[in-house]
Parts: sequence; structure tokens; C-alpha cells
Amino acid sequence: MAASDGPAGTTRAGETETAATSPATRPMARRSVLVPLGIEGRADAVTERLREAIFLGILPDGEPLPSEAELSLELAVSTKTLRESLAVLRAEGLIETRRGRGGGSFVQSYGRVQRSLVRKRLASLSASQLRDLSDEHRAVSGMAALLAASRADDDQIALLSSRALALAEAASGMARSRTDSQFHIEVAVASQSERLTRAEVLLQRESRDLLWANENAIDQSRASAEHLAIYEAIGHQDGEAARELAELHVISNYRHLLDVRLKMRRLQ
Amino acid sequence: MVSFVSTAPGGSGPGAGPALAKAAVQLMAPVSDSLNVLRSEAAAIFVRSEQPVASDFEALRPTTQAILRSFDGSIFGCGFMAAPGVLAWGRLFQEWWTLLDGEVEQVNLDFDSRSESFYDYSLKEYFCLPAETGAPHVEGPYVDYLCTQEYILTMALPVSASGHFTGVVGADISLEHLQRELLDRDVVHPGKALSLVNKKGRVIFSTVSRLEPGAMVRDPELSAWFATKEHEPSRTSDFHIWPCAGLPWAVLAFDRDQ
Repeated sequence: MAASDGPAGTTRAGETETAATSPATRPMARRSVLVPLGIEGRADAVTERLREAIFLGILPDGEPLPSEAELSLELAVSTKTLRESLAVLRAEGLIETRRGRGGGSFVQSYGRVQRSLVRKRLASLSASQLRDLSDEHRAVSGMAALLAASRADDDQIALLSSRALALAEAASGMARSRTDSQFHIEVAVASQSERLTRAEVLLQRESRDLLWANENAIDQSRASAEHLAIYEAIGHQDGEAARELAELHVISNYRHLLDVRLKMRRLQ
Repeated sequence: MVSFVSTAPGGSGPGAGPALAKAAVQLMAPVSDSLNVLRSEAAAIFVRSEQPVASDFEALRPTTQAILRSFDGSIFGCGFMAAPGVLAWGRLFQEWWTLLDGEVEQVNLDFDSRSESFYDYSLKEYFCLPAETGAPHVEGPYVDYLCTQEYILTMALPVSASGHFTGVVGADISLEHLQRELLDRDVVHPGKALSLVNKKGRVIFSTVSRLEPGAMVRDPELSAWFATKEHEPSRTSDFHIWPCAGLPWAVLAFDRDQ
């Protein structure tokens, strides 16, 4: 093929549904996390990169961070820029700075940090914002399931089945969160729609940690039973049933979140 | 512009199906020709050294980058992916490059199986089929949400050295470009419903709107036809089937506009 204009809207490879960070983050492959940025005055970019490194475990829990001099050299930014982003990470509770002998900045435990970030995020959402997120998610996941029922091929059906089972078997919060969102993303992929897939990836980033990374996580057995039912409807090419089941699944998830949110309010 | 389409009255000439098949084959030929060059280079690396190291694969860069640049944006990614177990230092390894906004960049996918963005190409159709059959394959169209974030086709050719499968060379092809190029070749025929499908029955391109790209033509006779060794022109009760030489595709020509 020889064609004229370049592809529009292509993004960096290695893009995934990972980011427990902001939706704007572009997750990178592990080894590229600490490559030099060389963008002066971009504290945001430095912060994102360090946050990513902490979430991915490249900078492991409890480990001291390299010295400021080393880090700024490695990321190719000034110490001033680096300090600004370390201050942000400290405020988020991702690192802790101890003074004195044996002092320095230390990476805080992922699970604990994650839970406190999620609690903060949920607390910042109003009931109507949650409902709106649920509305959008229903539209996207419902339509993706409807289309997947007519367009999924045998390999995709088989993949959906294994994704649905993976949630039932997931043994940690992280694994539940990952297998849950992978199932929904694969439904969107099976719908053959680029746009619905992108929308589902973004919605998963926004919602997965709210659903799973807290002490009031949604019910794993309910969620996985619902995934199996959605998968079966898609496998039977029953689009309307698939859509309805996918929407009901979204609704139960967000009702649970709203319940948790309302309880938090009362405690404050 | 050369028209491959027959000019029979009413535009329903019997040549329309074969013409679309021929156009598809001609459009894909430069990609497979280029990949053939890359394949020989990849095979040569395994001939030169029994235990190649990562830097040995840098030898593929000039050709990989030339391919990306020469297709003017219609190829998003190109490179080599090693068969699991072939390289001493790791299960998965790729020398893969992409073209992003006119820039050629290397892609480092995440090969850490504990990680969330873990990408295991050895499970993908474009890798498995050439590994199994020893023949080239084109996967898709499929939504590639992990890498290009586009609706793409991936062509892959198996690489072997002294009879052993050592990996694939491949290219991610823009479906949009293929569709645009097919339209430019005047394949749309009034009164004739043509559909280019892959071996799963998924529509790649159609000359009628009701068979949109991504839709499935679920027909046991079509699956049976793809399962045959020699793909001769054939027909079912609903459509004619025209082979696309060397591609895992077929053109379906529907008798009437249903």
C-alpha cells in the first residue's frame, strides 16, 4: 500500500488501561519510566513519571528514593523542578521524608497509599457526579455488549470466557481490579469499535480503583457472576440481553459506590 | 487511474468480484514484499550467531525504518518478535518500531508478567498462526487498544533458521488506508454487493453500507471454503466466493442486493 496522509490520533505504543493515576497519564513500559525527560520546568511531567514508577513498583515500597542529585541527573531536570514534584508526591502521601541520620525520602506502601487516594477521590465526588459517571458507563458498556454479541468471533468469545473466570479466581484487590477492567475492555474490543474501546478504557481508569481498592469493595462473586452472564449472552449472540445485563452490572456497581459514599459523608 | 472493474451493462458484471480480490492482493503485495526482505535479514541473524544478543537485532533497524517511512503513514508499526524460548536472555523480545506523527520510534512493550500492562505477543493470532502453519497471516481488522489504539490489520511472516521457527516479522497496517485505496480503485459497483472478508467472516471492506466493516458474515459454507486447501472460486446459495491469492481473505459477491 502507498497512501498519502499520516495516521491521525495515533498515540504512543504501550498505552494500557493501567494508570491508577490521572486519566491524562500515558502509561509507559517499565524501562521507559526513568528515562530522561529533559523538559525543563515541567514539574507535572516529572511528578507523573515518578508516580508511575511507584505504582509500577520500579521504585519499591519502603525503599529510599535515590538522592535528589542522582534523580535530577537521571531525569535530566533541575533540582528545583525535582523538588517541586517531590513536594506534590509528599502531599499525596506517596513518599515520606525523614530527617537526620538514615533519613531521606522513602516510598510509601502501595496498598495503603492507594486506599487513601481512593477514599479521597470518592469523597470528592458528589452523588450527581457519580450518577453521571454511571450514566456514561452504562451507555458505553451497554452498547459495547450489544455490538459484541453480533460481531465477536470465536477467539474473542473464548477470551471473554477466560476473562470472566479470571475475576472469579482473582485473589487480591489489585488482581480483582485488573481482571474486572480487562473483561470490560475485551467486550469493547469485541464490539469492533475504536471509539467505544477508548471510552471504556478511560471509564475503567476512572472507576476500577473506586470499585476495588477500598475496604468496601464491590462483591467479587456478584461481579463475576454478572460477567459470566454477559459473556454468555454475547456468546449466544443475544445482543439485547447482553446490553441489558451490562447495564444492570454498571448500575449495581455505582449504586454500591454511592452507598459507600453516603456512609462516608455521615462519618465526617 | 486504472479501473479493474468490468464495465458490463448495469454494473453487475461477473468481473466485479475478482477485480476487488485482485485490487486487495495488489495493495497488500508491497507490504508482504517488504516483510520478506525483513524476514531474510532476521533469519540471517540466527544464522550468523547461535545465541544472538539483543544488539544483534539492531541490524534490522535500517530496513524496519525504511519500511515505516516508505509507506507514507499506512503502516503504523513494523519489526521482529522472537519466539518464546529462542533467545537465551528472555522469553519475549521484540525489535519493534512505530511511526507516530511522522516520527519513527522504538517500542518497548511491557514484558513483565506481573505488571498490569503486560503484553504477551506470543498469544496473539498474528503470532500463533504463522508459528503453527509456517505461512504468512493477516490478523484483523481488530481494535488494537494496547499498542496503536487503532482499528488495524497485522500482517506477519514466520522467520525460521535451519528449519526452526524463531519468530515473526510483522507490520501493523492502517485499515482506513486500505479502504480508501480500494475505493480509489473504483471497486464500487451499483447493483452489486461485494464484501471483502477475512477467514473468520469479518468484513474488511464492502461496497454496500449494510455490510459494514467489522460485521460478521456467519456462514458455515464460507468457513468450510476457508478450510479447504486450494481456494477455488465457489458459490453458496447466497453469494459467490472469490479467493484473494496468498491472503487469508475472500471476496463475497451477493447475487442480489438483499
